[in-house]
Amino acid sequence: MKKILFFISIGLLVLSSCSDQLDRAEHNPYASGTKKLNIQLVYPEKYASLQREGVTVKVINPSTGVEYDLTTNSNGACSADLEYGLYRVSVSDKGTSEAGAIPLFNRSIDAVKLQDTLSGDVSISLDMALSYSSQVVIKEIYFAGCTNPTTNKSYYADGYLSVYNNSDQVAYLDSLCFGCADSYNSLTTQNPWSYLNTDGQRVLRDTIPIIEAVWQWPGTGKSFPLQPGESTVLVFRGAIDHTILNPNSVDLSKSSYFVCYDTRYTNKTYHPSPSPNLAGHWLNLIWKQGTSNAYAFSMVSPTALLFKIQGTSAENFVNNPSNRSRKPGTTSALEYIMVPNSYVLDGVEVMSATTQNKRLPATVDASYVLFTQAANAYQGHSVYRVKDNAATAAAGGRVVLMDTNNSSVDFTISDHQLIKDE
Amino acid sequence: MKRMKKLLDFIAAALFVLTVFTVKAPAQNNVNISSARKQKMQDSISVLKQVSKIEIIPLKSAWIVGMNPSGLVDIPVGNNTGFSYVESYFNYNKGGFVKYYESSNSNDYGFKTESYARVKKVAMHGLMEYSNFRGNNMTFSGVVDPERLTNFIADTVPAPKRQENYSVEGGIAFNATPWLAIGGSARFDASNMAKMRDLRHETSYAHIDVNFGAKYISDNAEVGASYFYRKYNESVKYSQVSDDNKIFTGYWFKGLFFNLHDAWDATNLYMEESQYFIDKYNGISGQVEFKFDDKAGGKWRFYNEFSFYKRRGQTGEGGEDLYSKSNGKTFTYTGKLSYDNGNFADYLTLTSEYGRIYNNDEVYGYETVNGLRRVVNYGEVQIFTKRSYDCNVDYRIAIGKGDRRKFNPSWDIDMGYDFSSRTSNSSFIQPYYYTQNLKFNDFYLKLGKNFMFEKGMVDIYAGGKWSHGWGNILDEHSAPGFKGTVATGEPVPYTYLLNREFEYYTANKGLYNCGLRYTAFLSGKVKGSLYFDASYTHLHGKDIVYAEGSNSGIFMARVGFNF
Repeated sequence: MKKILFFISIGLLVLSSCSDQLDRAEHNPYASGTKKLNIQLVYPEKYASLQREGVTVKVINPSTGVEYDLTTNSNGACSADLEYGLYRVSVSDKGTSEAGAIPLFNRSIDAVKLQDTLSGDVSISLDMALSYSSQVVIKEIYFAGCTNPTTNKSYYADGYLSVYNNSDQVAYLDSLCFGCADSYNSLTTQNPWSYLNTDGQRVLRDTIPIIEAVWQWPGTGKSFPLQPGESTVLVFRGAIDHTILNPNSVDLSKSSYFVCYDTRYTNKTYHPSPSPNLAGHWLNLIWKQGTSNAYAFSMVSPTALLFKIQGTSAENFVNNPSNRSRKPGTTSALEYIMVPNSYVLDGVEVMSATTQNKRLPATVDASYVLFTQAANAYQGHSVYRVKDNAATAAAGGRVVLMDTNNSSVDFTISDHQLIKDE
Repeated sequence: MKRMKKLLDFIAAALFVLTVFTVKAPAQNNVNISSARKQKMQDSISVLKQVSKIEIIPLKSAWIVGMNPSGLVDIPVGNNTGFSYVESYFNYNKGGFVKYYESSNSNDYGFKTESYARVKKVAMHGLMEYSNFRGNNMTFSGVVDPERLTNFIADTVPAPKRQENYSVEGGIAFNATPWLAIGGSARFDASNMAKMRDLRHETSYAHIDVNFGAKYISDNAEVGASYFYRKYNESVKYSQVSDDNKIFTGYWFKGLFFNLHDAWDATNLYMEESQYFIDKYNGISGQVEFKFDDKAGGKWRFYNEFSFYKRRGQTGEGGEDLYSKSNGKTFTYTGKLSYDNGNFADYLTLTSEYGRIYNNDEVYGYETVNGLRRVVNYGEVQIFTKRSYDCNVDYRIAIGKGDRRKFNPSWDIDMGYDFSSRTSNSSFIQPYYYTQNLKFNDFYLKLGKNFMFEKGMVDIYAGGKWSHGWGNILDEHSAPGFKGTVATGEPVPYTYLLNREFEYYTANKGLYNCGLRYTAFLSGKVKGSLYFDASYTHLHGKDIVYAEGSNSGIFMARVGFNF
């Protein structure tokens, strides 16, 4: 019996120690598995005074979609202990107005590695790239389709982009170009147009590859004015009243609208004859690659670019072989028009998942609009530029839209097509 | 057709195993036994086979159901004798008070056969089972048992599911010397589950369990040691058949229902590929039993078993991408004090298990170097951990005198107390982490009475279990010293499932069961009995908010043949 009691007491001791162990699960799980990331902002020499306290640096973990806001200290530096992983670091800052133009400073690095095999902290310098806010900006992009309430079928022939004059002076759309960057949809695979710089950071080229087509507004120079605070619409495919077929869709047959229409795109389902209201408002297809019979604009995660060719005509530019390139790492003969970043007036990048890689450089768009399929597809949702309340107040009530060349700040998602409200 | 072939193969294999276990071994020993004695033995065996219940056999020695397969030598079955049964069963379940991944309206049928036998010094056990399950209104899990895993994938569209299960088990043990027994056993379970409507999935499940062990036998004590290996392999593949452009949301739950979710085929979920959930267990166990026989012929036994196993798991696309790794350790103790004097037997059992498991996400990415795409691993980050403790104290008394009551007590009373504790920690988004403390316990009482008649017998049984739980459903914490703010906000779990699971374990519950079993003795050449068993079990929860109902019931019927 003594032996039995001995073993029972041993058992009770084991139970007691197990009970104590249970509470240990509440410990801080981030005590290990992290690495310190030090970030130093470096402004162009002329703007060195901007190296200051209080600038927000966004650190994004693409695999989880989490965004951390770090704030710089008085030396323009910040740091944080972050979990192992691949991070995207982006920063946007504004200088003071110079002769009416506001200098914007952006930088985005896609692949900052916090790896368990690295010794010590990871330190990076962000060379802030200078750009200026544009007179003409993209106000809204509707691309994800809607559902026909009668048939319950999805409908996606009604995409458009609206263009807004964000300045206090008249803008002219004549000879403005429109196109999309490669790839059509954002991808998780490494962007082939990127490379590793001498610091080991993966950066995009200084030129943007335009895929499939370059469209250009017609006009002689002052044919298509856009008044301050005024907007117009560029229809991607069917410039007709889609509400006749689908009440959830939009009327794209208005006379002030423009359309991407050319007989080289022969698919009448996607490119029906535009409404007569749009006579003279057809964009010129100045370059087309491939044999596609319908212009492809991503319904999932597009980019959209407005750019103006400098120093020569757009036709001459696209016809110059030095402005074309094949995709690196492929054997495909397809060519892309390489537009210098500095030619871009405005650009927006949409991603359907944070794990995807950037296609536009930080000077055009330092981040992206996250537009998930589960929440947005076929529901009439669009992405639109938000109002800059401070700038609007300063402009005496003329609506000024946010333009920091950082779409995570500038854009948000609408639950309906905004041109329905006009 | 393929399934029918599998079923036929299975039945054929079952019959083969039964034949092996029940065939009489060449009885050289019988040469020395007089024919009268032999006849008497045969009569005794015949009676024993008529009245015995095979489920009582493992009760007779803790070694039989312990971790050490060499304990099979203790089966209370005489030389060249075996106990077997074949049965078919049908269960029907209806009611909304079920776990979040279970069906509120289901049925299943199956066939099962099991046998204990001894040929000379060799003891054997075999089991085969096939079951076919159909459940309606099922969702929230693509895997067979999400509670076994640290993370799993799921969708949210309720739809019917079908599942086929196959099990085969075999054990063998023998006395190598009078003081040494050696044994081994293996079990294999396979299951196929399919959801029948979009978003649909096919799930394949396989489990293997292999044990080896030996024990030293003396008059006063027995000491054993064993090793075991288990592997669970489960793959889930989601698909969409309809082409109506409907977007379905997929979920990857990573503990406490914090999750990644998106369109099911989104690139950050990869649910359109087969996802594998693999777990391997390696364990050792040590046993010691003390034996005392009192002067009145009573047998005291005090069995102690200490086990430890390591658990390693991984999740990902088979052979390609590894998403997470888990590792854990579990300690178990089983103590069983029993006393059997031929008139009644008492069994006092204490089982206790403590386990902890960590699940770490693999952080990786792809890089293309010189045109070659390669995977770059950045390290592991802890995403979930759970510590659990379970304890059971059980007292059972079986009363019945004489040979006919050897495996068929007149009264069978079982009562006990269970206590479980779970402490979970989810660290889904740095710097936040969330803990859950969940504790629940229950008390149960089961009574069974057997009435023996000349040509048959009747068993009436009833039982009840009363449960209650408590704890903190979710406490939020933030890692101290973290610089920066989370612009995307705090992570949010799938609150409905979190509440529903917590409610299921903490609600005041009553489970009531009653049943009747009729056994008809077979005479003549066929030694054995036919039985029919029907029971009804009802579960009722109090103040249920999240489950679809506060009641569920299950009707069970089985018919079988003991031989």
